Amino acid sequence: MMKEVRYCFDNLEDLIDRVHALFSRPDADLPLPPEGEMRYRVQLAIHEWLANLIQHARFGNRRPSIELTIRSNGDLVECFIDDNSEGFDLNGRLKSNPSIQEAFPERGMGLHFIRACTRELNYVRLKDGRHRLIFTMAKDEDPWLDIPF
Amino acid sequence: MHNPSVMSFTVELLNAETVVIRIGKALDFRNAAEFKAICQEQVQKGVRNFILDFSETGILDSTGLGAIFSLYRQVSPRNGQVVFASVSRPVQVVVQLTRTYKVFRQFPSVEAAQEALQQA
Repeated sequence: MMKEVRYCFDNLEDLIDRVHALFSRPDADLPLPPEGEMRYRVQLAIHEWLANLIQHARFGNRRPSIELTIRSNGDLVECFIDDNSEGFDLNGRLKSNPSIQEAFPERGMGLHFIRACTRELNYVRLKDGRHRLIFTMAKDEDPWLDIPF
Repeated sequence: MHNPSVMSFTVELLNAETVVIRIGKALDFRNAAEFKAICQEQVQKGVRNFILDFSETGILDSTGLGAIFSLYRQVSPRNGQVVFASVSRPVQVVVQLTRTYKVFRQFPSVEAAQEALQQA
């Protein structure tokens, strides 16, 4: 049975701290095993996407609005991150930069982290004009991001 | 980008060539530049071995790992080492994802890391 939680945020300044607090707060009631690897991978993928939004997204004159939905049955996690920014060409970026080429890169690994962590990854424009990152992740996976050393 | 909610790093000099950097709550896009500046200062003083203490760390992201790569690029030509100590579960997930255990040796404690570096 799928269990779902949803949280809304409107301040980019403390967004990262508030989201991480959810993962460390027992009463947040996240539908994720409390100590499993998957919990940390979900947290990492969400962090990387929020970091991308905070650093690069354009919200124009709108007050930022971020909605995080996590749905899981314990074995499979589905996550949606909706935002009211002008959007981002994630699919184009991943297509033009499919792998990490540089040894010990200092920047540009965030989207690769997300892709490596996730089973399915998609980014769409919603009917109301917002954008949505969708990813799924499964328990008992051992994902690997190939970084040249 | 600096965020005051992210704790600063603490540096403990063990000897002329080795320091422990206690990472604190996070090493991420908010404080990676500060981490690089602290490391740069130590490298300029002649330090070449860095023990990174992750015992309290809940967040290591791609930018934080990039800052560690930057440090590694600086010290490896000087036969220096970057090693990880007391790696927390969230940090271990990043290490496992990126297979960086092939580059950065891990130790259960700062003391164990210090002992290994002394024997090297």
